[in-house]
Amino acid sequence: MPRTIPIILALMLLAFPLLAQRGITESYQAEASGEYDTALAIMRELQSAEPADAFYQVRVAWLLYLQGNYGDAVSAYEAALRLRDSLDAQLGRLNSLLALGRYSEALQHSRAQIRLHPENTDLLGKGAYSAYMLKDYSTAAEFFARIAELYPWDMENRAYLMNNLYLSEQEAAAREQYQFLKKYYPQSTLLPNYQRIFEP
Amino acid sequence: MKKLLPVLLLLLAVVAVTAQEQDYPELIRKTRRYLSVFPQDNSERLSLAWYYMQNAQADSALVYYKEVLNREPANPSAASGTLWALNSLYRYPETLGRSDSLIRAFPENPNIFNHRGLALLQTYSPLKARSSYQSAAKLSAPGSASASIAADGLAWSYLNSGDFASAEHIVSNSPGLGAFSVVPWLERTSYAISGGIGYKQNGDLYYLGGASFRRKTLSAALGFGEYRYAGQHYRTAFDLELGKQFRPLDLEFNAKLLSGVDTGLYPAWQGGASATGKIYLASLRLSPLLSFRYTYAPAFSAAQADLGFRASTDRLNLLLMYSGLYLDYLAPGTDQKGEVFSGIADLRLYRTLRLSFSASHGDLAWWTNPYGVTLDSFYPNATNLGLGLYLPLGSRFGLSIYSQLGLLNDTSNYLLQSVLTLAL
Repeated sequence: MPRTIPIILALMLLAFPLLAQRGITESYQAEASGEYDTALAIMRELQSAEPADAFYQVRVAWLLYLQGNYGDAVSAYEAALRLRDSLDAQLGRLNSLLALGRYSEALQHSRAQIRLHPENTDLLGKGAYSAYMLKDYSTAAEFFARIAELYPWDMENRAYLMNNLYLSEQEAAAREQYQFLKKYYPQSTLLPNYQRIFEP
Repeated sequence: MKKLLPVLLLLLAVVAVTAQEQDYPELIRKTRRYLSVFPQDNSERLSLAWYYMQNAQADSALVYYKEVLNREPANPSAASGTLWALNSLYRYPETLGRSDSLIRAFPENPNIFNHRGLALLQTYSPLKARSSYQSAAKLSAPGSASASIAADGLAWSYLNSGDFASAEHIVSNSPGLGAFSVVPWLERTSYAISGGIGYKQNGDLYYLGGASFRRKTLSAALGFGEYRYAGQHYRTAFDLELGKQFRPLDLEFNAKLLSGVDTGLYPAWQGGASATGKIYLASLRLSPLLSFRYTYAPAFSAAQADLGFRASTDRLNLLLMYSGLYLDYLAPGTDQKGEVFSGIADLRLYRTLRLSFSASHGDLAWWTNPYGVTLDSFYPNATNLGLGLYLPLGSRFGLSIYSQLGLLNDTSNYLLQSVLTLAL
């Protein structure tokens, strides 16, 4: 009898990680089937057992974002960043700010991250979008220009570059991009709008 | 109507706070450029109209609101924006002309009712404005800017129609109303003085003077009248009226002293009280009224009870009244009963220019008419027909001209009276 108790305890201790592993799998499955509430509930249980786990925190934030609960997602990403700074959490926070329409904060956040990761096109693209929504077209053009330098054949971003160059009154540069797109990507949806302007 | 400016200011303040501080000329420039590339973007066109409104360029905003409405006839922001711009341009009749069809198209949009309410207030139609603002209040989400504007407009409507108690009630139940609202106007004390002269066909003259003040729901008025007979002092009248408005009804108490050379008639003391109800039905106000007066003179006493009914619209006020009189003389068996039928139709001709017709018939001896004038005579006319005109003179002066034709048996007589009022 006295021997069996330590054996049971040892088996239970071994089983806990397995249970946890099974829990996160169920969370992924629930997310895949669009059951964000269930996925989040599982993650919250896991997180309460290990509150210092940065990944669990990021995943909670991500599921809040998927739920459309953007305000709480921002806070959750910030909590994750306090546990461990990561580009995943930074981008997650940025996405949540954009979803909330807090473009000034999003632009400020993008600028700070772009300084640390100057070649990250996700950050550049989101920063450009924030600037565009704030009608700060010259900043948007600047970010799109950097994407175009890194990926010269990314025609979609080049079209955005043309658009923001024109809107920020850099007409000669916009015309240059227009000619580029006309030559290499004539199906760009923005071209007809600029055809009226550059080839009236 | 200058005092309605705060309504507009509130409207602008609310939207300005919502929009926060922006460089509108720069936003206008950028958005115009944007629209040159994407002319089909109605959402940006609406933004442009909004920026123009914030930049005090309502005429330009109107162009863009109309453009959006032409492209998207079901766009509620463009519909209400059109009225907002028209009101800002003081084009109130156009607002009213457009608002009817827009209300049919957007019956659930509180902003349209709010803009229509402002146009009605500015065109001297407070009862219609009340109805419009009430619709806006019902449709607005609690705590929203629309709800706040509707509450302010409702209070203005009551204030402009003379119902201070209802205006005060709205204000006390709308804590969000600030300095740019009706509140300072409601709390302001107003004063007026008046002076006038009357002439009777027989050559008699009389002089009138008065002073009044109002603070919120309280009012007081002092009156003086000197009647001269054949160039000599005949009778002086002093009267005091105190009024207090409540929401369902208004109360008024009055006291009068008539002092003169005829020792059988004077001094005569009179006291009275009246209650007037207020019932609103859409843009109509119905006011039942009940009053009692008692006069004590050396040779007699008189009691009068009035039962009346007033129906008011923004254009026309109609009053019908029945009065029962009892004259109690010192000599036994000489008491008299009498009755008087009277009516007033008061028509607003243009802005605050008004024309009134009045008629009274019956036993008019010592009858006090709806204007508060006591016919202190035992030989009155059997019928009086009156025609009055109120002429506003600028923003502070007003001139009342009243002429009366009296009929007694086969004879007739007339009087002419004129009173100038100054609002301080």
